[in-house]
Amino acid sequence: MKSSRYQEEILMLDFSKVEIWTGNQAIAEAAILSRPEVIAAYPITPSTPIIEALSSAVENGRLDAEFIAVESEHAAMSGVMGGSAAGARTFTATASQGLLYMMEMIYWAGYGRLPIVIGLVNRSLAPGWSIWVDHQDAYSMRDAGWLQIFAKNNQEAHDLTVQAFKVAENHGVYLPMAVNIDGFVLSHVAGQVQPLTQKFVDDFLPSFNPIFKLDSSDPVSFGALTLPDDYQMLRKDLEDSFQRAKKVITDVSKEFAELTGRDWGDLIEVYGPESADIAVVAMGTLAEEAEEAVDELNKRGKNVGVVRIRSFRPFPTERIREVAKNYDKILIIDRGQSFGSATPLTLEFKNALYGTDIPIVTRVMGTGGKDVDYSEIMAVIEEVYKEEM
Amino acid sequence: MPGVAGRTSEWRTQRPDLHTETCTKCMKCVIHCPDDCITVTEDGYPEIDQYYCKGCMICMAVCPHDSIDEVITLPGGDIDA
Amino acid sequence: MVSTKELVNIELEVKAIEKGNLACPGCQLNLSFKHALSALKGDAIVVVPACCTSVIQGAGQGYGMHVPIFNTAFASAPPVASGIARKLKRDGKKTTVVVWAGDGGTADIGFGSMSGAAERDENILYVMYDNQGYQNTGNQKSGATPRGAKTSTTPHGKKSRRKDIARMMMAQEVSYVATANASYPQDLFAKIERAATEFAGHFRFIQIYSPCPPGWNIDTKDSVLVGELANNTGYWPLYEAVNGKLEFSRPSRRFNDPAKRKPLADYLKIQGRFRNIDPEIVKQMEEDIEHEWSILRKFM
Repeated sequence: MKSSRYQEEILMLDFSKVEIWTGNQAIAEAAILSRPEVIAAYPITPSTPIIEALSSAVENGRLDAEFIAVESEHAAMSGVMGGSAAGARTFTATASQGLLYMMEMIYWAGYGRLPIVIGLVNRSLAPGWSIWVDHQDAYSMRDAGWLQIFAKNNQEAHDLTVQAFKVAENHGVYLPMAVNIDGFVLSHVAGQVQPLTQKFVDDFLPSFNPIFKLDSSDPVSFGALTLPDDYQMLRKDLEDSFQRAKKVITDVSKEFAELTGRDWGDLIEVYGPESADIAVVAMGTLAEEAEEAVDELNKRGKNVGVVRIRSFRPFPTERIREVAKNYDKILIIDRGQSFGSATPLTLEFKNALYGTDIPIVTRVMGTGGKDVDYSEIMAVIEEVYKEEM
Repeated sequence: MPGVAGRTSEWRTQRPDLHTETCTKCMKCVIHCPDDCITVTEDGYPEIDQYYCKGCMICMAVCPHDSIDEVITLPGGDIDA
Repeated sequence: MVSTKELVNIELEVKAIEKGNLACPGCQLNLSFKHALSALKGDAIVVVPACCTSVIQGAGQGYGMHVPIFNTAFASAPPVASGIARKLKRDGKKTTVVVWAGDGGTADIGFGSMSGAAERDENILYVMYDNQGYQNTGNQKSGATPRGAKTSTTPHGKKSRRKDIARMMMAQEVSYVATANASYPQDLFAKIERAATEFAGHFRFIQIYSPCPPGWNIDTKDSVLVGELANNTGYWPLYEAVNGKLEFSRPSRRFNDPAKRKPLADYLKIQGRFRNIDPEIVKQMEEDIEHEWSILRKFM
C-alpha cells in the first residue's frame, strides 16, 4: 500500500521545470555545471553512469575539461590529485571495491589537503559479491581526512555536488569532499530533479583559487619528508579544518537554501515533531523512508521524529547534543557495522551523548542491499515503544 | 638550501686533496661529483667544498692525471682540511 | 652532444641539487638527477613515488632539490603526472612533467600505471633510475635486479633474469625509449634534452643505469668505473628507440661486436653483490649479454 504522501507528491509535479533523473545523472549534471578542469575516472557499478556522462560531456564539447580514462581506481584518485596539485578543480566518482582499491590515494588526497570532490555511490563490500547498497564503503574512509556528506534523494544529490566544491575549496577548510548516494536506490532510480542552471552555479561557486600550486617558476613541493613536530602540527591543522568545516557546510547550505528555496538542513535535518518520544536516526534513503514511517505512525497517535545525519564527517556532535534533549529515546538505523563493537553511527552518538542518560538503541538494516521500506521501519519503532529493544 | 643533512663531511673517513699543478681543468671531477661539491674558481680550477664533501673519492678515481690524493681523516672528518 | 665544459656551465647555472643532501656517498641517482634537471634547464615539475629520492630531497623545511616535486605513493606517479600534465596543457604551459622513479616503483608496483600512462600517450617524461633493487629499504630484490645479484632477499644470487623495462616500453610502441648510464653524463644529458624537445607532447621513457654503492656492495670510488664496465662489457647497451626503430648510442656502438667486449669478470669482481656466485649463473649471465644484443639488433 502506498502512503498518502506518495500520492500528494505525484499530483504536485510541474514537468516544465523538472527533469526525471537518476541519482547518477543528478550528480553528473551538477559536476558538469561546476566546471571541473581535470577528471580521472574508472568505472564501477553502480557509479559508472556518472563518469560516462562526464566523458561524453567532454567529448561533445559541453564541458571544457580533460577526461583521463585511467587504468584503475588507484590511478583515478592519483590523476585528480595531480590535476588538483597543478591548480585544477577536479572531480571523480567510484563505489565499494573501487573505493577500497583507491584507498591509499584517498588518504593521500585527504592528508595532502587536495580539495577534490568525489561522487561516492554507496555499495556493499565483498566477498560475497554484492552490487547493492550499504554504507560500509563510506565508513571505511572515515579517518582519511575527507568531508563526507550524504544525500537522501536525487535533488539533494544534485544540489550537494555543487555545494561540495564550495565547501571543499574554502580556504578555511581546504579538504576533499565525498558526496554519498545510496547505490541503485538513488543512483539508478529516476526521481524529480529541478536542475540548477549554469548561470546559477557560476554565480554561486567561485572559481577554484588554490592555496598552493605546482609551478616550476615558483617551486613548492608536496608531501616531502616531514619530521615529528611538523607532522603533528599538520594533523592538528587537519583537525581544526574539520571543526571549521561544520560552520562552512552549514553556511553554504543556508546560502543555497535562500537562493533556491531548497533547504536540506545543516549538518543534520530534523523531521517531524520538535519534541517526540523517539528520534529515528539514519543516513541517506533510509532517513527519507523513516519520514514516511513516522508520518504514518504519528497519524495513529504516536509521537516520533527523524534526525537525518547529512554530514558524517565532520560529525555534528554539538548539534546532536542540542536536539537529543527533545527526545526520550534514540533509535539508530545503520547500514553499516563495526564488527566487535557498536555500529559506526552508534559509536558517534554514544560519544556525542556521553554524560546524558538518553537511551540509544540500534538496528542494522539495509546492508547488502536488503530492501527496507517504511512499513518495516514502523515495525521497529513499535518494538522500541514496547521496550522490546 | 645546502646542508639538509647537516655537515655531511662528518660522514667521511677520508677526503680528496686536490693538487692543481697537474690539473688540466678537464672538469671530469666536477661533472662526476654526486653532490655538486666541486665548483670552478675564477682561474678555472676545480675547488672541493670540504664542509659538505662525503669522501666518496669518485673525483680521485675519475681524475685522468692523479691530481687528487686520498687523505685519511679523523672519524667525523676534519673540518679545517 | 654537449661538451664537458658546457655541461659544467649549464649545471652551475641550473643548480638542480644542493650539497649536504641525504644521498649515500657516491650515489649515482642524485648525480643523474642533477644531469637530467640541467638538461631540462630546471623547467620541470617532478613526480616522485616512494624511492630513495623521496628521502634525498630532504625534510619539509630544508630542501635538497630545486624543482617542485610532488611526492606520492609508490604505485601512483604516472597517473599523478598525467593529471598534472593535463592541467599544464589547459594552461598552455610548456614545463616538462617528469616522473622520477626507482626500479621498484617502475618494474614492479607502479608498472601497471606506467603502462596505462604510456597507452594514453600522456605528455610525461618517465625517467627510471635503475639501481637494480629496493635500495631505499636496504637492497632487497626487485623485478629489475639482474640475474646473479645478491640482495637481502636473494642471498645466494638472483636466479631469474631482470625485467627489461625499456624493451617492454618499446613493445608498447612508446614514441621515444632510451637507455642511459650515469657514468656517461653527456649521453644522458643529450637523451633527456632530446626527449624533452623533439618528443614533447608524448609519453617518453628513459632508463638510467644508476649504481648504488651500499646496495651493490662496491667501493664508493668505483661508482663511475662500474658504469663504464657495464658499458664496455656490453652488459648495459646504450640505445635510443624512436617509434620502435633502434639505434645504439655512441658509447655502446662498438660493443655490438662481441669480440670488442671486455670480459664480464672485470665487471663482476669489483662488486660485492656478485662475489663468489655459482659459476653456472655466471655462465648464464654471459649468455644473457649476447642474447640481449641479438634481440635489440632486430629493432635496428
